[in-house]
Amino acid sequence: MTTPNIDDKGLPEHCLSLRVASDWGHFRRVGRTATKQTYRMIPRTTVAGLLAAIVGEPRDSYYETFGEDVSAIAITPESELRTINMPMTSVGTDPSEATTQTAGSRRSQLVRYQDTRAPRQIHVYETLVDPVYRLDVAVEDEEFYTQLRRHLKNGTSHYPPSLGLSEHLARVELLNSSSEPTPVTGDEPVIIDAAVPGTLKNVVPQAGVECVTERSAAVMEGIGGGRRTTRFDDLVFTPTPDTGVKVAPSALDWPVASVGDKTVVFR
Amino acid sequence: MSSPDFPRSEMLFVTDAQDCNPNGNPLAEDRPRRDPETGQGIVTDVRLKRYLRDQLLDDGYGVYVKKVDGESQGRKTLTLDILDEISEASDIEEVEDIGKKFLSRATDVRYFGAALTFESSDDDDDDKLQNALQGAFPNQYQGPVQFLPAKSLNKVEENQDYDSLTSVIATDDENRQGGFGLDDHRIVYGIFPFYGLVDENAAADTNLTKDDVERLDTLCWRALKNQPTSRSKLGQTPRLYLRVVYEEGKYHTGNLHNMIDLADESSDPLRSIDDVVVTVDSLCDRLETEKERIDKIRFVGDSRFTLSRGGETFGADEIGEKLHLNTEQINVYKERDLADE
Repeated sequence: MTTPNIDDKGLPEHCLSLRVASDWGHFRRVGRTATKQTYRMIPRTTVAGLLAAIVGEPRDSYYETFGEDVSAIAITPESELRTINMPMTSVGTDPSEATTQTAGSRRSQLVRYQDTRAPRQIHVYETLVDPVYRLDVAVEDEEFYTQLRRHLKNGTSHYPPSLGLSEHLARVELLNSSSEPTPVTGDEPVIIDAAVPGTLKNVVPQAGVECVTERSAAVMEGIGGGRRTTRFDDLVFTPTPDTGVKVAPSALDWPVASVGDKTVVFR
Repeated sequence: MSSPDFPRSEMLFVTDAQDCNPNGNPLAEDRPRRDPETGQGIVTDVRLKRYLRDQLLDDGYGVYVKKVDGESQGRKTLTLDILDEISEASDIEEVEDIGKKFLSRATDVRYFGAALTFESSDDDDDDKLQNALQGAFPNQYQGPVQFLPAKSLNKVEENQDYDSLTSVIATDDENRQGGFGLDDHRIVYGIFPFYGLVDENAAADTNLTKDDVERLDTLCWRALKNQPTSRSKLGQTPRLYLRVVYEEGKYHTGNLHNMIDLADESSDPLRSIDDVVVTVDSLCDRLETEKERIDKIRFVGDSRFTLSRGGETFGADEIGEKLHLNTEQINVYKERDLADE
């Protein structure tokens, strides 16, 4: 099997389909410190990190592999995306988390933050409960794709995969090592199972179906021993399984396709 | 990165908690952690690792995350407690291979990793020291040993009988009577399967050794026996420990904790270990299908913990006989590895 070619619209000719799951998950929202809120939908960049862990790529080494023109990923939630709060006491003194205890002027309301410089700090993690995602993944990097498929077929992983925090050990199941996406086009709305990039204005409301939106990191690049996000995606999805987002494929800038029994959007 | 000298292994560690608070939520009146939707009790990996660290200390090993002089401390003090030859910035240059020395003494960091970031200080000397420490270590050691937070197999109930504890000694000299409303929330009973994994590749980063990994076989058990000593923690017991050692790295079965469940023969609700029967059919079947990849299974079980396979019930200490695999029973006290010995 050759490495998949990804066409100009972003649709791969074939892809790997897998399921990742854990009892817990935490994908830390950017800009939060003392309270660590989580994205409901695993960010595209986290998927890249998870797959790189399976292959054994070192930190900050795989961003080009998951660049926007050479990779295609569709993420479909397969569980209710429910969270609970998990306060944790940990050893403190992270200078980047030092915050003031009060904020605002005399006239404004006093705001108190946790003193994160204290020896022990309580961090509240908003934690996903039993998250399950299906991933449809293609990258043009031949070496990476070959290694990834080999690991998934053998059930092996260089580093054990996890969903966000390293203690949230994940289970990975290969569903299909050569899924062939069938394009779905047209102006007629279809039910899309995966997270849909875009805004709510494209969504056709359905009775009893809740749609939520999130904006999370999608593509990163390495810079001088570090990294930076070069693209964020707004995502629309339903937080309950077995319901989807109703959108006309023509309203999206991204390719819609049927992969197995799912209708997904590659991005 | 050097090659690990041991393969991957993974652990299933079942403990229970009766009339106690196995893990309080500090932001909810220290009530036992519970999933409000399913009613399952929760014990975090942080709580389990505290027991393991405390047992390491009792066994004579150096531990990084601990109280120093009876008080919680920040990272600088904890680091200097491990590297006691350092008191100022210039001392750091005198220590050869400081990272290696730190890891050789901080046993818990070899297992669980640690963040090593240090804040700046208004005091010049202190600032120099913190900067020098920051330069001497990576920001973080990723732990090769990970445990998932455990969810109980049963719905747990809070035991209302303990809510109204009153202290018999006055809380202050001015007070004429003891305090009322001392929060003391406990669960009636919960049985918690922890799932853990030893990552042989990450082990190279923290210098985790084969001996360290083998130490877990008695450490987990003894920690749960010995360390829940405070009033709210008494009542926890280790019931079953399995460590599946693979033939080679990069492979693990995963999800072992979700392959056991309460059998129909269990009482409802559960009140003690005598009410519990756990079916291990899925677990044993799955492990046996992995036979070619498994080197051995090290185990220890409590005879009071009843397991069931194929309708037959037996004590957890007999699971080695029921598994058609290479099993080794752990002698928890004979095999214990103490630093002073």
